[in-house]
Amino acid sequence: MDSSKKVDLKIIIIGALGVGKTSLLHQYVHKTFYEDYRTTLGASILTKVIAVDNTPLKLQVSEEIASAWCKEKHIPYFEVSAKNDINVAQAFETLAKQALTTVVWESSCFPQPCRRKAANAPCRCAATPELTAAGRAPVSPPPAAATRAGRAPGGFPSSSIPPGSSSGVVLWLQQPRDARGRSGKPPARKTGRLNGVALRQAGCWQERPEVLGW
Amino acid sequence: GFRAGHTAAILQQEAALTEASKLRKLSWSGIPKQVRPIAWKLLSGYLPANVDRRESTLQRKRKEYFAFVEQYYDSRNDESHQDTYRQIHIDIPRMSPEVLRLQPKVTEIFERILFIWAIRHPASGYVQGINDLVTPFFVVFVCEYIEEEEVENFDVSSLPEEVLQNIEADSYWCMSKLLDGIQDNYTFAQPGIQKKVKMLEELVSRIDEQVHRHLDQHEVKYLQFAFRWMNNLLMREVPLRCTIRLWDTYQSEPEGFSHFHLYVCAAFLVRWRKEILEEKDFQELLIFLQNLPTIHWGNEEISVLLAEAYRLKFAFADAPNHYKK
Repeated sequence: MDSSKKVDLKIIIIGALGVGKTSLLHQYVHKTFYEDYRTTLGASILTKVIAVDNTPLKLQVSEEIASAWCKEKHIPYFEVSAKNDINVAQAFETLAKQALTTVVWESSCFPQPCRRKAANAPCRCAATPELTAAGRAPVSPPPAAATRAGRAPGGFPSSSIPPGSSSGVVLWLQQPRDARGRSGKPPARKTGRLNGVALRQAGCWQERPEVLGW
Repeated sequence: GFRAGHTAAILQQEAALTEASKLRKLSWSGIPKQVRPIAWKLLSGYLPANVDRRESTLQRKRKEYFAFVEQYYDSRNDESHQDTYRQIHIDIPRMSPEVLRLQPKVTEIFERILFIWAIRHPASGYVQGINDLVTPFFVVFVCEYIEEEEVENFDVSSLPEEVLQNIEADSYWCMSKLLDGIQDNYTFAQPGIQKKVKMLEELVSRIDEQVHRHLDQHEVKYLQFAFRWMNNLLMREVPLRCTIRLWDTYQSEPEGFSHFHLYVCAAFLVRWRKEILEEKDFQELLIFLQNLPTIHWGNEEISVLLAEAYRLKFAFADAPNHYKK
């Protein structure tokens, strides 16, 4: 493992309440499924160091709730089970790999979550560009993001992450449609569909702080 | 005649108010377990200070609550309310496992309390975190009927139905009183929380610049840890017994839950300054701040925290910036 090539990669997990974001993360980091756990309020974080193609990667995994903005994007997905540890590591690590090679330098943050009355809520985010495909032209990050990354704005590579930098990945966790109970019984929530997209997170946060920026 | 009666009423009212202010003073430093249920009902404003009116108030409010249940609870599966109900329903099993609440009887009661509150308060509705706020009231009111020390193992369904109903209604009203004072924590975009997190940041920057700078250097945002502190009043950060002790004071202090809490949070953060300054990167800091080692905390630690918070409030409340060190 060449630690000079160490990269900090941040992963956010978003998804509707109770789908199993926390469980997925605990399965990945601790190799455990907790039968009893508490609802996550705000955000929480876990971290794990892995090596992808000999590059040590420190994953800062943060689990979040946000709107399903990437629903209609063409994003690869994995069937996962936090309970039975199916595809969990594969999903995280494929995303990490994908982020290392095809990351899109984005200066946006999430659009306003549309879960509750989003229409009349102002978004503090400067821009919410559409994410189309990997390799699109880099956009200048806002000053806050540039400072954070410790570099001057502009001149970001669009094809790979330089060692020593940090980047972000989003996992969007969904419930299988048939498991969504209308009411009464809670849905079987430990199985979900995992969608991933690579993007760079700028430091800004939402009016409703379910998404915390870096 | 009328005059004498009138004077007597005023005197009685004044006596009651004096008693109320005495109660606040006494309660500030912790309420003995045996009198806590009645003290909380008085401090929250649920029970009137006037002794003669207490029993009738209790009866009226309990009846009123169950009239709400009658009126609204069947609508929990209606299209307009099922999302609210579903969220409450899946959140309750995911609360702290440290209380009696996983018993089916308790789950049922919590669901009713939260659903009725949400329907009656459409400006916020149910928001995750509110569910935790029922627990201290419920546990304190159940304790009135428990001899033994161990609440956790008590079988709630062994209580008579009528007693349980009274506990449910009393918990509902006391929780409502509490939430009235912090409603903007739970309205859309949670402005109360946003504002308080900013105030906390400002306060910490003034009382402990080194800690503030350290967090800033490592890009830790106050929102990332203090959102939860505001959202459920530190209940996730300390054991339940400590929350109950904390609430003795919050209910004795003017604007305890909405304002004094801020100073408690500042004292709480600075309490960990040594550990914070030893952590040298973002994720270690955040993991530490989200898992503070308070599991063995008791009254003593809370008393120290409250004394420090009181000192901060005294020194910094309404203080202009020249107080800055």
